[in-house]
Amino acid sequence: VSQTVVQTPLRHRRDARRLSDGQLAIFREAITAAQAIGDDRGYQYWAGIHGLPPPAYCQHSTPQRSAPLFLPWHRAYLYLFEKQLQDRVAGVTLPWWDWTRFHQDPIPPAYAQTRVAGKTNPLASSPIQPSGRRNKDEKRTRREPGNPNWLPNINQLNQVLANPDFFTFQTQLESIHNGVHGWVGGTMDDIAMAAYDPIFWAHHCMIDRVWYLWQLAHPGIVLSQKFLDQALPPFPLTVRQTLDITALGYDYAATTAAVPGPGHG
Amino acid sequence: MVDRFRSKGLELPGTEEDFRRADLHFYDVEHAGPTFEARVFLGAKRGVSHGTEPDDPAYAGSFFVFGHGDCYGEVGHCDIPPERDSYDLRLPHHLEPALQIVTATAAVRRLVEAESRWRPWLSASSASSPMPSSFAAWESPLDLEAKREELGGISLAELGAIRFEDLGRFKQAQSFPHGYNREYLTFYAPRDTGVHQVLLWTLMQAKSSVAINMYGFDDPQLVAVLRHHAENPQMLVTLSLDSSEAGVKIEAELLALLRNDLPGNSIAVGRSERHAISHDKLLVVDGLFLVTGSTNWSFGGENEQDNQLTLTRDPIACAEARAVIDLDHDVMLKQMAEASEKKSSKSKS
Repeated sequence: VSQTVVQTPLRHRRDARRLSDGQLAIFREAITAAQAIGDDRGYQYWAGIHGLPPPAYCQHSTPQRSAPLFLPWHRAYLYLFEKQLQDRVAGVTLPWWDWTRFHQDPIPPAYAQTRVAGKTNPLASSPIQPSGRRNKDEKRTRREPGNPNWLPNINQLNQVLANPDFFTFQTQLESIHNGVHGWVGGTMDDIAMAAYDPIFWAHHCMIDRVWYLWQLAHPGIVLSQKFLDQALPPFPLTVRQTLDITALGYDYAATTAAVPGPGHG
Repeated sequence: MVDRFRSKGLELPGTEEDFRRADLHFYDVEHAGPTFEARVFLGAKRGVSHGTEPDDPAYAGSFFVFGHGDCYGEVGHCDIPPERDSYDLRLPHHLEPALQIVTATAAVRRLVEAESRWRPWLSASSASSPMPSSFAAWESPLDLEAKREELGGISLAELGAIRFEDLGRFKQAQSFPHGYNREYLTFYAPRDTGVHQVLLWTLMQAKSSVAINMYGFDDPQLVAVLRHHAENPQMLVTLSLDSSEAGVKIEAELLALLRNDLPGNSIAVGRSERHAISHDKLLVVDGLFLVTGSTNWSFGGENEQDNQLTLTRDPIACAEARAVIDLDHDVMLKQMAEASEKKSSKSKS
């Protein structure tokens, strides 16, 4: 049976603290459904692409002698994971976690509450498949948050956003990203297993959003053909195909959050 | 756990105008181990105990490394092949050393500003200095009899011969008001345009000793007169300068310039007893003349900022100030000795 291409509107990713009850419910439903699938459509498969089980595909730590792919690779990763979730629940999108705000209670309640309506919150932790563990006892993700003062603040993020050079911007944003992984601690602090923690996706959604904001603030940036044509394994996308998020079918909702959204300067 | 790495010295831009942004690039950053933060400190001083927190005065920024952690592959999985052929289109090895970039504009600017506070009078050329030509460095050895345009056509000897009672000529009104205290003369920069001349006059009175504790000191003409005294074996020259922003290289140049090696000269560069800035502006000449106030010995301090300078020939006030200068000088000398000892024991180990 051949598929019919259906024209769909852009879908908006939203702030994890500003989801309506309904939006949060369908997101949890999608994650739960993905957790229930054991093949290459499931949560465990997609979490494993980042690190364990091998091969680890993720692109981190700006290599100094070759093209750094941190932002494009993770944009492709989130895009394709989100498509899997949308196959489970139509129209669902990944929310972002703005870690520059609410430092008195840094992890959004949607991800922090261990139980919701009498059930385990699928965003608070996740099982880790046996092949995804560094040791056999790490059956579920865990967090060990640090001092909230160590989280990035808006001034630090604005300084990074002001970079006119893409590669410097990417390197410095990756450094901020690294610090947040370390701050969450536990599974998120382990590059090989971090993607099993559901907050990983919200953290990277924020990173992707910051890149998008940078793109809006610095239009007309010219990147080399070689870089643009670089493939992003294991995904069927090149760097060039990740540059326009509207071509990927999503946008970021405008918000009054500290990091300004489109239409808010 | 805190590990420390001290880099080789970095060349600073010449002046603040030379740059709009300063990025520090860190090459060959390993990321095979655990996640860590690297905090960068610029301009750490010898003899100063620096902390590890962002509130340290030398803090410039930080970067985070997302560590790979222990290898989860088999033998050789995390070994980086030493070579890569030119047809190899695979992505880089997952542990290829990384580049990190820290934007340190504010910290570098702080150092450059500080450097510019010292640099002009360490160099005969003031081409890069924002000072006007009338503030240019003087020759060495100093010709005391040469008529100088910047002194209104008189020589240093003639300037020094002006009577204390006649120093009112350097006031805006060219005299002190009637009934003014005869022993305490106060000048206000920039209103009174002769503050520079008053300082030169005071230095020119020296017959046996000059003792200075000065925070900001980049007036090349005052340096020229001080250097003239330092070359005189009969003259005791005691100079204490704040080190908060001066690099070790500049300290060494300073000691050489003012002939710290000659008998009678003692130069100390350091911090206050409590490791804060040494903010005094004190000059005592021969135990007979004392300069106090807020005026740094710089073009800006003497001509542009709002500053006050009081010259007195009250010997009791001179004696009190001299004790302060000597005590602070001793503290700085001990700081330098301690730093030198640490350096020596470190090189031995």
